[in-house]
Formats: sequence, C-alpha cells, structure tokens
Amino acid sequence: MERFFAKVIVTLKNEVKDNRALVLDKMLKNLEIEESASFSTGRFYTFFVSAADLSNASEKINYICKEILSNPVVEKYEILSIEALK
Amino acid sequence: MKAAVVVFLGTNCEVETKRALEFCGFEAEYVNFNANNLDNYDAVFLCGGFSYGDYIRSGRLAKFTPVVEALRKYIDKKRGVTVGICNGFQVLCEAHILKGALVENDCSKFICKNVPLELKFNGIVKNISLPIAHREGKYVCFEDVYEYEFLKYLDNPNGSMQNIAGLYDCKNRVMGLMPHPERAIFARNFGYDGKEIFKIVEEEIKRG
Repeated sequence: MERFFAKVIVTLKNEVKDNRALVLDKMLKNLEIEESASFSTGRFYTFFVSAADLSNASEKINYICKEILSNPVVEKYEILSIEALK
Repeated sequence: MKAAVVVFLGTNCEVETKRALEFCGFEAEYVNFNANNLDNYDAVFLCGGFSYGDYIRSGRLAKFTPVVEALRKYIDKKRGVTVGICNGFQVLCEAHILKGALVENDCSKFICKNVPLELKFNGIVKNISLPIAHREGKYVCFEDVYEYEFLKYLDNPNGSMQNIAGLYDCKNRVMGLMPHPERAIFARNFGYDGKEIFKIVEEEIKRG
C-alpha cells in the first residue's frame, strides 16, 4: 500500500447564491480596489489516503469528496492535486 | 401511537419534542443514534439542535449513523411517518431522504423568531405562526418539489426557494420542516400552533 496526499476544494454550485462572496465583491468595489472581483468562497481540505496505486487513491478521494466533504445537490468539488509520498 | 425521538450527539430539542408528543397524545421515547431497528414505532422524530457539531455542514455527519441506516429501512417498509424538525430536516436532506438541501440564510445571520406560515394539507389551508431558529435554513432544490410543499413562509425570512418552510413526501411519508412545532405547544412559549403539525402526523399515522 502506498500513501497519497490530496488537496481538495469544495465550493457552492454556480446556481446557489454565495452570500460571503457577494459581500467580498461589494467590499472591494466600495474600497475602489476592484470593480468586479466575482469572488467564490469555499472550503479547502488536505488529507492522506492509503491505496494500492494512483487510480485506487483517486477513486477513494472522489468517494470522500462526494459522500463526506460535499453535498452534490448544492456543492461541487475539485481535486487540486494527488501526490504519492515516497 | 408510539413515537421515537432520535438523539444524536449534539441534539438539544429532544426534551421539548418528547414533552410535546406526550402532550399531543403520543407515547414517546428516546432512541439513541446507534439504534439499528425502528420497527416498533409509528413515527420517528429527528429533532432540532445540532448533530456532531454540525461539522462540514449542518446534518452532514449524522447520515452515517446506524439510526439513519435503520430509518432508510423503516421508510422503505412504509412502517410509519418520519418527521425531521430543523436539524432533523437538514439530516434528511443531507442523507438524500428528502429532495434538496439547506444552505446559509440569505442574511448570513442566525434567525431566531416567530414567523407567520401558510399550512396547506389535505385541502385545508390555514395561517399559523411557529418559531424558527437556524443559520442554515434556506431551502434550495433544482428539481420539481411542488407536490411536496405543505408549509410556506409568508415573509420568507431566510430566502428559501418558493418560500418553502416544510416538505412532505406523502408517498414515503417523510416530513421535513425548519420551524419548531414543539416550541409552540405550551402557553408560555410561542402559542399553540405547533399542535397543527402533530395533528397532521397523527392523521398520517392513522391513514396507514
């Protein structure tokens, strides 16, 4: 078994209103820093998994993201990286 | 009629839910999160509060408990009526037992107040008022849930889609609502309108 290190980000789907992002957009506009920042907020996770190979690790990470870290009804996730540890 | 009041780690409305059920003529008892059979009960209540610190999102981690697994079997067998109040509704949505999801209120604040609602059930239309207490109570769904709506906000305090405050899946007999009917039973609280919800549950149990 090998060890893999995953970096994952979970954000709201585009059709769900992101209140925090809207506040940040408005703040940057009011401060005259950026007219249209189009923020998107979410949660960032890093974790380790044990798997036979990269493909199994990817399957396991996808399962964790889909069933535990996100709710597919309102959220989407993106696996930023999967690194095999030496 | 026998009702189960499910207690997860963090549930904090079990006492008033049991009291309200007993006041409305039910025989109620607490059921722990590790119970694996609910067949003895005519109704199962998932009550308000928190579950597992509501880490990740409200109700997310409770879906992995043995009692939710038992609840799926209970619903499949059509044994009785399931009711999720506040955090219980969030658990039902996170477990995909009910359609949709509950996200952060539009105002991003915790709302705790009595709200006017429209109750529509079995041809009866009534205006009632019940207390709400939540931060993640905005109901969103990208599927058609028209047939399931039974409780709607009149002033939509949290931005819920189609003003939905509660859903009832009559096929599987699963009800979910954000307002707390158990807090509107005794005179010293928020009036008596909570009885209307318990009356519906009673009718549904009798309907079989």
